[in-house]
Amino acid sequence: MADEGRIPRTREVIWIFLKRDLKLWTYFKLNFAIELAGVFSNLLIYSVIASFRPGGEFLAAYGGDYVTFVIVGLAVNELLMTSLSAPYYGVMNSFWSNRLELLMMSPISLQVFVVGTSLGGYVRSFFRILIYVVFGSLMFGLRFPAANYGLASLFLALGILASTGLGLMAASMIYLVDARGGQDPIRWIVGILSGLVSGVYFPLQALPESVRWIGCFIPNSYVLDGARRALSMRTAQATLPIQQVLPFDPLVTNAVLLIFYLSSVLPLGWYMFRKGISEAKKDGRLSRWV
Amino acid sequence: MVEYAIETFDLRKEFDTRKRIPTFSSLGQAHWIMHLIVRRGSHGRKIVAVNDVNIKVRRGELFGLLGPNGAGKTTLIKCLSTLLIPDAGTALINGYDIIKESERVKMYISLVGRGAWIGFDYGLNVEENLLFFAKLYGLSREEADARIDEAIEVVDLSDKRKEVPGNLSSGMRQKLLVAKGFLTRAPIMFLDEPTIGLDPASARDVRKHIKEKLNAELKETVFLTTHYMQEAESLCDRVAIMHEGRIIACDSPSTLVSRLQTKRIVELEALNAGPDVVSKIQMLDLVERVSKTEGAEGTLTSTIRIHTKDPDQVMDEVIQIMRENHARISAISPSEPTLEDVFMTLTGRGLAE
Repeated sequence: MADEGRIPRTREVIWIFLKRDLKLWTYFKLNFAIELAGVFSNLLIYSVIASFRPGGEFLAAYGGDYVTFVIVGLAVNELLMTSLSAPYYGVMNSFWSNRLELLMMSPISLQVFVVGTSLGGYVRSFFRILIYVVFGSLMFGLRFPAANYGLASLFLALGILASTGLGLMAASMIYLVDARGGQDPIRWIVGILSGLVSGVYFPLQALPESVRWIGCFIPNSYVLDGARRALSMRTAQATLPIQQVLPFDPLVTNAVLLIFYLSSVLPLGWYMFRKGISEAKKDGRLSRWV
Repeated sequence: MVEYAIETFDLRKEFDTRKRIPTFSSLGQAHWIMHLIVRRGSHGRKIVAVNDVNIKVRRGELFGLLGPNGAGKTTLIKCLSTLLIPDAGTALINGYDIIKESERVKMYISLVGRGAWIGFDYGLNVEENLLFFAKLYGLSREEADARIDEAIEVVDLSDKRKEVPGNLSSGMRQKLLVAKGFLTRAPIMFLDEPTIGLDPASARDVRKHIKEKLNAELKETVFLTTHYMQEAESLCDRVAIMHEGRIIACDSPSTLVSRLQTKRIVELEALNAGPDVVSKIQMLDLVERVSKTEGAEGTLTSTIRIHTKDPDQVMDEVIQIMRENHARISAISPSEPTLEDVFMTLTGRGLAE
C-alpha cells in the first residue's frame, strides 16, 4: 500500500539539511580555503590596528584591550549577521536552484524549512568564531579572566532571536518587493547600521551622542554591549544613550530592550515571511518557471 | 474514506502579465524606493491559465490530463499540489482543501515534474540527492535505501549512483527526477509529463512502473499530464482533454474515441507531400480535417490522415492534388479514430501545434 499521510521526523529532516549544507560548504575546496583565510586576514588586520592603541579611554568600560574588544565584536557580529541573512539565503538559494517548489510541496512545515536551510550557516559561523577565539588566544593573548559565560550566552541567544526576526523580514522582501537579485532593504539598512553605529569595530563613545541614538534601533548594539560586559564585567558605566535614560543597570537595560525587541520583531517577521510565501504562491513566483 | 482522491470545484487561476517590480540591486537603492512609491509599469493583461475546472478523480484511478503546450496542465497540477493558490474555486485532495488545509494535503501527494523543475544539489551524488528527498518524506534509512535501489533500477541509473548531477546528461537528470518521485509512494501521485526527454526504452519502463507498480500494486491514484496520445491511451483509465484552460472532454479513452465512430478516416502513406498539399486537401468541401505526421528523419515520407464523410469522392480529388504537387501515394487504408482525432475534433488543432 501507499504511505498514508506520513509525517517526517523534524530531527531527521534538520539533520539531513545540515549534512547536505556541510557537504556543499566543503565541495569547492578552493572556495573553502579562501573563506578560512579570510578569517585569519581579519585577525591580522585588527592586530595591526590594535598596535596603534585605538579607542583610548573609551575602551575602559570593556577592559581596555582593543584586540579583545574587536575579536568579541567580530565574533558576535558574525553570529548576528548569520541570523539576519540565513532565512533570506535559505529562500534565495532554493529559488535559484529550482528547489524551492520541491521543498514547499514536501510535507515539511515552513518552520522546519527555515531552520533546516539556516543551520548550515550557523555551523559555518561557529567555525569562524572558533578560529577567532583560538587564534586570538594563541597569537594575541585573548583572555576573559572575569567572564560570565552564561550571561554572555543569554545575550547571544536573545540577539540571535531578534536578528532572526529581522532576517525573516529580509526574506519576506524577496516576494513582497521582488528582492530576488541578491539585495534587500532590511539587510542593507541593518548591515550599514551594524557596521557604523552598533560598536562592532570601535567603542560607541567615540561617536557623537546623536549618532549613537541611531544604534539603539538595531538589536546588535545591545547584544554587543551586553556580551562584552558579560565577558569583561568591568563597569556599570553607560555606553548607549538609552542606558543613561532608563534607571537600570546597563546589562538589565540591554536584556529588557532585547526581549522587547525580539517579542515584537520575531512575530512580525514570521507574519511577513508567511505573507511573502503566500504572495509567491498567488502569482507563481515560487519557481523561476511558472 | 472519501470516494474521490481529487475533486475540483470551479478551479480558476489567472496570471497577471503586468511588469513586475524590478529587483533592488538592478535599480539602485534610491531609484528602487522611488519605483515602489510611483509603481510604474503596472498596465498589463490577465491570462486565464485554468478556467473554472471541475474534475473528479476516484481513489486508485489512473487519470490522464491531455493537452498541448500552454493548455494549463502544469498550472492545474501546481494548484492541486499547493504550489499555487487559485484565484477562485477550490479543490479537495483526499478530502482536504488545498487552500485551507494545504499542510494536510502535502502529506498525501508526490509530484514528478519536468526538466525545468530539476532541483538537485550539485555537490551530492545521485544516491545522496535521493536520500535527501526521502528524508523530507519521513522515510527511515532502511526504507529509503530500499526505495532508492528500486527507483534507480526502474530508471536505469544503477551505474550512475555515485555521480553528481552535473555529470549526467539532461535525459539522465530527467530520469533522476522521475526516480525522486517514485521514492515517496504518496497515495496521490502527480506526474507532469514524466516521460518527456527520456529515450524510448526508459519511457517504456517508466510507464510500466506507473501502471503495474504504483497504480495496480500500491493502489496509488495517479494524475498524469502528457501530450503523448499513446501514453494517455495505453495508461489511463480516464482522460480529460484540456484546451486553453478548460476541460473540454473527460471520459475513458475508448468512450472518447467511440464518439468519432461515425466519421470516416482515410490514412495515406505519402512521399514528398509538402505543407501546400495538406492545406489544399484541407480546403476540399467534403474534408473536415487533415493531419500530417512526418516519417523517419532523413526521409520524405509522411502519414496524412483525412477526416471525411465521403472517402470515395474525396480520394479522387486528393490524388489529383498529389499529382499536381509532385507528391506520391505509396499506400491508402481506412483507419480507426484515435485519441489524437478526438483531440483535433474538439479543439480544431493537433497536440503538436
